[in-house]
Parts: sequence; C-alpha cells; structure tokens
Amino acid sequence: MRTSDWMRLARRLAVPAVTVVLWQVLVGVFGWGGGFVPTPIAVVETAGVWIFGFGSSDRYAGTWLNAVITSSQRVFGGFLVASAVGIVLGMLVGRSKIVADYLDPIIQLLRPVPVSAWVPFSLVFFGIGPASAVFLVALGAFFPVVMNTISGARHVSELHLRSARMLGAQPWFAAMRVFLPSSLPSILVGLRLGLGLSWVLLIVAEMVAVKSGLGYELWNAYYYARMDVIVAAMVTIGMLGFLSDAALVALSSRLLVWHEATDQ
Amino acid sequence: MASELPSVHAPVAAAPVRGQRPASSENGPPLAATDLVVIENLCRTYGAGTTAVRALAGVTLNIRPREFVTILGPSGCGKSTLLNILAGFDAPTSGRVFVGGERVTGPSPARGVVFQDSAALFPWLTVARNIQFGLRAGGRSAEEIRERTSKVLKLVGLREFSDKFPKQLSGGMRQLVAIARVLVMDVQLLLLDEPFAALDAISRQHMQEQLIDICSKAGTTNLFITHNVDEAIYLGDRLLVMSGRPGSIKAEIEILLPRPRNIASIDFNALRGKALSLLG
Repeated sequence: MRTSDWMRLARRLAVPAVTVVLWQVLVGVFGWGGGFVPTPIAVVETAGVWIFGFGSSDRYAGTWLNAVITSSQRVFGGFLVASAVGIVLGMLVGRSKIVADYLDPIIQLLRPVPVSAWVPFSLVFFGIGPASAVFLVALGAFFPVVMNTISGARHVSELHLRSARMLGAQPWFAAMRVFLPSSLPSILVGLRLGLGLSWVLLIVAEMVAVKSGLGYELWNAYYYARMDVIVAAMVTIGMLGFLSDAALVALSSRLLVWHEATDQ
Repeated sequence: MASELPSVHAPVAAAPVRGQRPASSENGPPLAATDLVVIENLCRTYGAGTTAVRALAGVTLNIRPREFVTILGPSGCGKSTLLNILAGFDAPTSGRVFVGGERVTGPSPARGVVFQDSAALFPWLTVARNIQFGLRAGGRSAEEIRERTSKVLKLVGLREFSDKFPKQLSGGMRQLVAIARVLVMDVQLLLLDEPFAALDAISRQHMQEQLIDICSKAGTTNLFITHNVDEAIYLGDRLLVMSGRPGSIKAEIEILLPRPRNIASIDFNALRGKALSLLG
C-alpha cells in the first residue's frame, strides 16, 4: 500500500478506535452505566467463551455457532421466499394492468402495516417456533422486493419492447430475456433493502416467537442481566448483516457488469 | 466502395416528380407484383373531433425490391408515423400497407427497424448476444445461430467486438450492431429511422458509406428517414420529400448520380438546391 492508502485506512479506523477506547475508559475507570455496561475487553472475553467454550461452565459456553447457524437459516429461508414471491408478483403487477388492478390495492394497503404488528397472528398461525420467524422475515422482506420489482418492470424501455416484438420474441421469451434483465437493477435494490430488513425482523421474531437463535439469546441474556452477552450478540448480528449485504452486493455487481461497464 | 449497388431503374432521365402509380385493385392483393412495398392512400389521424391531428393524409408509395428510398422532411411531418406503420408498431386509420404481398398487421422480423436511439440495443447483452436475440427468440439451432452471427459480424466489420457490451462501443458502432441484429434475420425490408442523427458529422459520413456497402451486399430493400438533406441525397436511389400538417409526400426525386457519390459535385449541389427549395 502507498502512504496515501495507509493515511486513508488510519482516517477510517480513527473514530471506531477512539469510541472503543473512550468506552473502555468511561466504564472501566469511571464506572459509567452503574455496573450494567460491560467494558469492550469484557465483551471480547465473553465472545471468546461464547464462541469457543474454552471448557468454561458459563451457560453460554460454546453455543455461539449453533445460534448463528439457526438464525442465518431463518433469515435466508424467509428472504428466499420473499424474493421468489416478490419478483414473480412484481413482474406480473408491473407488466399487466389487469393483475395490477387486482393486486396493487392489497399490496398498498398492507405495506404501511409494520411487520412487527403481525407478531400476534404469526403466533396464532405458526405457533412458537421457527416457522413464525421465517413467516415474519418473509413478510417484511417481501414489500421492498415487490415494490422495487414493480417499479423496474414498469420502466422497461419502450424501445426495448419494440425491439423484442420486431425481432419476433413471444411473450414468455420477452419476459425472461427483456423484462427480467431490464428490471434487474431495480430488483437488486429491492433485494438489498429486503435483506437488511430480514435481519431486523428475525431478531424481533426470535425475541418473542422462538426459543432459539441470536434474537432469543439476546433477549434471554437480559433476564440474566448478562449485558456482556447482549453486546456480543449485537456485534454478531451486525457482522452477519454486513457480510450478507456484502455478498449480495458482490452478486449484484457480477450480474450488472453491463450496467456499469465503461470503456475497458 | 458501393458502386456495385444494383439499381433496378433504367438509367434514363425519369421525370423527377412523378404522379402516383396505379398499384392495386380495390379489394384484392396489389397488382404490381414487382413492388416489395405497396402503400395505398394511407391516413393516420390521432385523437378525434376538433383536437384531431392528421399525421398522415393520403400517402401512396411503392418501393421496388433492393431499392434505397430516402424520406426527407421536417420534424413532425409524419415520416416517423409512416415508418412505424410499416414496421407494424402503429396501425393506419385508413388505407392499406403491403410488404412482400402480405398485409402489415404487426411487427415482424421480415421488417427490421433500426431506431434513431442506439439505446434500443439490449444493454445487458454483448454484441454477439444482441445480434442473436431474434434467432434465439425464433428457436433456431445453435449451429445456425453461430453461422449467421459470424457472417453478419463480418459483414458489418465488428468481429473483434462481439464480446463487448453496447456501452463499450461508439455511437456509430452501436448502430452497426442495430443493423446487424435485423440483417441476421431473414429481413426483406430495412426501416431506418434517422439512425445516424445522434452522430457527429465525420462518423455520420463514414456510417453512410458503410450502410450503402452493407445494404448492397445484404441485398435488402431500404427505407431511410432523415431530416438531413445531404444524407437523403447521398444514400437514396429515390428521394421523397414530405411536408407536414397533414403529412403527405410533396415531391419525388430520382437520384441518378453514380456511386460512390461526391457531396461536393455540381450535380449533387443541384439536387441539394432542389430538395431545399421543396422543403421550403
């Protein structure tokens, strides 16, 4: 790396580093938080035990990976359902006035209802268990995906439609080879928003409707006054959200080479 | 370079402005079987009542096979409406349009359109994939697709660009791809809607030369719309001048200048003066 790159890295790390040091000093030296706020060092220790166990008798020892896998499965399950249904319905609503007449009103009416308001009915229909979490994640991620797909499908260029018809494309061919790729940039924006929401809703769902996963551990730790576990769980969820977003962005830029391609 | 463009006309000094040719009987198919395009008394009105706009009023036009017809007219004279009806994107209010003896009822790969805006290419497909779009839509075999693609890429001179995306090409090259994607089909009639309007003067001149060369090799019949006088004279075997409100063909000029044409020659200049005076 050149000097300017090192300088840039230093600038980017400065505020997080100062925050962590300040946090350590405020809590460790001045006792800020009345004993309920763990120091960063304590959080790292807890995380180590949570992740690796180290033969500790802590009730959280070595259970981290299990919680991460359980929660990730629910997020991706719900997100996949939301993506599939959202993209298919979005394309239909965006391209067909008749389908739009039928479905647009119900989508617009349900969209403003916060998905957390569905928790009681989710419990009624799916009970306390993973199905509730998957349902809530899917419902929450569905709206950004469907809205952005509709918008993308509605803005397919008239020139591309004419080109496809002039070249003899039948409806199904045009749908898969023109409408879908043309809407793809917009669809991917919806997927990204939906994936972000998925993690939010998963934690809400696991806090109230499931007895496992990161959200459950986080809320349960509150009852044991294990604020160190809560902070470690918050960091874990943040990292998972960040990584899944990065993966989706990487996929997007692969799929959209044509979109950003310049003279090369 | 394009001197071999076959001219179907007898090279005699035809009357520059001709009347309408009798083309067909009242109800049956067109009688003039030698003409590829037969347009009879075409009218297109948008809207109704007092706000109705007559985009085309009584256009009659025949185009012979392999002929290159240019239509020159000011913006809003209805020339694009005429092209859209021929392409099958728009339907006439009255009158009939036949291409290859068949009535035009909708778009068809037999009538390839090159749009003014090269954004009409599919930006998510490479040059080769853009060219293959119609063949794939028609379910052609992999072997046929490969053969036709390589032939047409050679014809338009874009072989080394086949894996590029449209965004990576110049405006002129994009229009060559737009031409190639319709030539690769069994195209009878090439409809060109001001395809070079967005290009700078130098690439425009270059593209005109290439177009003449490509069309003569491909043996297509061409209808080229423009509002550029030089372009209309340089390209056309026959030039139609349109006037607007309502849109109609005002005059017809046979262009018998030998090819390749010199836009600085005295004969070219005489035609330029004539076309300009007709545009008024």
